[in-house]
Amino acid sequence: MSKNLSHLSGRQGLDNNLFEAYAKAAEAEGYPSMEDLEKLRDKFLVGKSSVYGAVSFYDFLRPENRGKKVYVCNGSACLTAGTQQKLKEQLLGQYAEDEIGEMCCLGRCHENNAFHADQVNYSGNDIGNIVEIKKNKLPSGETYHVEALGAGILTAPTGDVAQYYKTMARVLERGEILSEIKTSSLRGRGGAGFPIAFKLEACASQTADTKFIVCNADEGDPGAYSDRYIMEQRPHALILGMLIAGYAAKARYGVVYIRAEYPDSVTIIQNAINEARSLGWIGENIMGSGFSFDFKVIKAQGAYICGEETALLSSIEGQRPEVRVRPPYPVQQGLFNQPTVVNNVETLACLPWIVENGGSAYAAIGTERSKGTKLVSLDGHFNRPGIYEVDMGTPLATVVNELGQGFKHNVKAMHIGGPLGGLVPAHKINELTIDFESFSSNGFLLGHASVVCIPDHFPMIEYIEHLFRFTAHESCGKCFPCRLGSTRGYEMIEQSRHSAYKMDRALLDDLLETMEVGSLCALGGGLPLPIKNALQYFSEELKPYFKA
Amino acid sequence: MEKTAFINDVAYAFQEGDTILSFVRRHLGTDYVPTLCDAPNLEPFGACRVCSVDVALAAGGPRKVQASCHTPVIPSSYIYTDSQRISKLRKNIIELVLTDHPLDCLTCEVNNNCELQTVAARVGIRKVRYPEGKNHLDRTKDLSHAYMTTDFSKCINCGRCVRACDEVQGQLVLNMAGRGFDAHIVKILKPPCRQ
Repeated sequence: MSKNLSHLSGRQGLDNNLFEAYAKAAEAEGYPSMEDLEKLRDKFLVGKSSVYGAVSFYDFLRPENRGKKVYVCNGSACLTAGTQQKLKEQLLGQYAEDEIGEMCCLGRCHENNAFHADQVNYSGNDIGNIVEIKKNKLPSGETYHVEALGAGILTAPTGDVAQYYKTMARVLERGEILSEIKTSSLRGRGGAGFPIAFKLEACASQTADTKFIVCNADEGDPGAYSDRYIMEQRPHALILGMLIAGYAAKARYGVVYIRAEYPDSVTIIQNAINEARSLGWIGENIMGSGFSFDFKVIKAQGAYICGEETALLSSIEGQRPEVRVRPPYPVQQGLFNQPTVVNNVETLACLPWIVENGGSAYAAIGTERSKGTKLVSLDGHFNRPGIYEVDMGTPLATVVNELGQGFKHNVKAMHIGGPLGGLVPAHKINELTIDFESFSSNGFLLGHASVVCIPDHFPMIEYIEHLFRFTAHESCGKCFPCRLGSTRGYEMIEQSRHSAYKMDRALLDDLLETMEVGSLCALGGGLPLPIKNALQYFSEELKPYFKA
Repeated sequence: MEKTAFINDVAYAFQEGDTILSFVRRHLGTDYVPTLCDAPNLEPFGACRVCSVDVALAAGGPRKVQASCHTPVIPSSYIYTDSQRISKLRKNIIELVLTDHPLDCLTCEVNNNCELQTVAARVGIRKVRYPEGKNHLDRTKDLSHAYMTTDFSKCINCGRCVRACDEVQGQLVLNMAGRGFDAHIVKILKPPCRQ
């Protein structure tokens, strides 16, 4: 990360954003031309290497993206569902081989068969209409079950929009809202579980001209679609949540960074912002209160690492989204070198309820240290896949057996909490509850609480090969353990699967430890968890791939 | 009263703004903790992780591995620069680096004047255990510039040239491009327009 580039990018303001200019330049050909990059260099007074280095990072801005018309989801749930190969064959009837790309993941984990064509995502039986889809850009027939067990905060309808934003009037009247958020003990839902009130307070106490609330809507974890659910079904909960956070942190702008793999989310959030603006809740001097707050939606360009908060900030600035060292923390020096609070969608969407019902009401739900509710995404291996909202502390068995109504076929493990979450063997279902502590004390990770099942017949070696391939593809390449380790790990597993090569267990253990304790961020640092779980719980199955 | 922290169980005074690395270096010498991506006059970068140390918040407490170059010293903390785990980590990182580096030290022009060679010898690398895989050993030398030559087959992606070009020179001529294993240095020598 370059402070110079942060400054040069920031002085153009959010309306004239360098990162968005890359995407615009790529519209015609699938990637920006050298002439486009020279124009941007001149406009932003940066180096040509600065803009070239940045665009070469993103899946959807690279020359390899040229001519791609349809993308197959290569996420974990579509992989274990076994739908990818047949889907690709069906697409080959309509598209040339080099017109078919890959995306990871489209968040259609509940009905699989997922693909993306011309800014629309499809899944389930949509492939049957491929001729029509190609000709007339049909909408998707996607449906999924949504249900709450318990308090039901995030799944409750937001109702009449004008009425819903009255909550903000109460915030403005009170003049102080941080104490209520503190009382709620709300912790970040993005993976780390950090209390949001700490960040808001730290940001509010900084002296700076402009502060930012950034919503991390780069829900890249294969298997998770709960943030997509909020953005598409409860968009005003997120917008109002960001307004409240902005007020508490004394921020001026809210930036929603949404992944390109969720085109509907981008449109729906933008429309919701426009609606809230027309009602007077966004802009200068909101309702005569003296509080001004504006929004900016930024569409990402295909890089999982942008879900890491410092990489995300560099991405918005048009820099290479490499993970930054901390300190400085984003609340000290974040977007454009200004104090910034970064939180994920689900966390921010809890704030309207907390303001409306009080922090203590929120803190009364859940366990001692994990308060409130959690959205859980269940994949297509369940009899009733979908989005479920449960109070923190709800037994995993209740989620699996009652809400999901059990598995369609025998499942040997569940990968919970994204690619960096733990691999929970089926026999542990009764030992876990949905909260941060239960998962961490049992050697797993709650993460986004997404559940991807690995059926009995799916080879564990293929699954861990997939995890290493994913990490090697998505590593930003900055820190040595992740850049080199993810590729070497992938090669070891790939060779042991497809050649006579047998892995040396001591070497693999060394590699995992190096990545786990040595990596700069949670990507390289997190991958060893599911691999170690697989080695522990499925040692017999994996034995043939190791030296005796 | 001066603030102190412990290095290998001996108490030393640290200064405001010290990173663990600057703290250890002041008391025990510049080479006490090995580094590959750190450089004078550049901001901490945290890429190579070779400078990692073990840190406990109290005597005998649980230890956490931290990269010393960008981690501030915590008062009264216990820093272990050469624990077994740290020695192993450094060795394993260097082994990974050597999987994508020519093993031709004896004929290399910087033989005996090479930080990687020094650190590799220090951590005691004997052999590379990984099977043969992707590498960048076929990159050719660039001798086109009058006095700056490059051989990217030997580049370890420490990012020092990119950062010097940005932080010291303000030129933005060099940058990394691509990502992951394919991340590499690009030189775009046409200077930025200053209109």
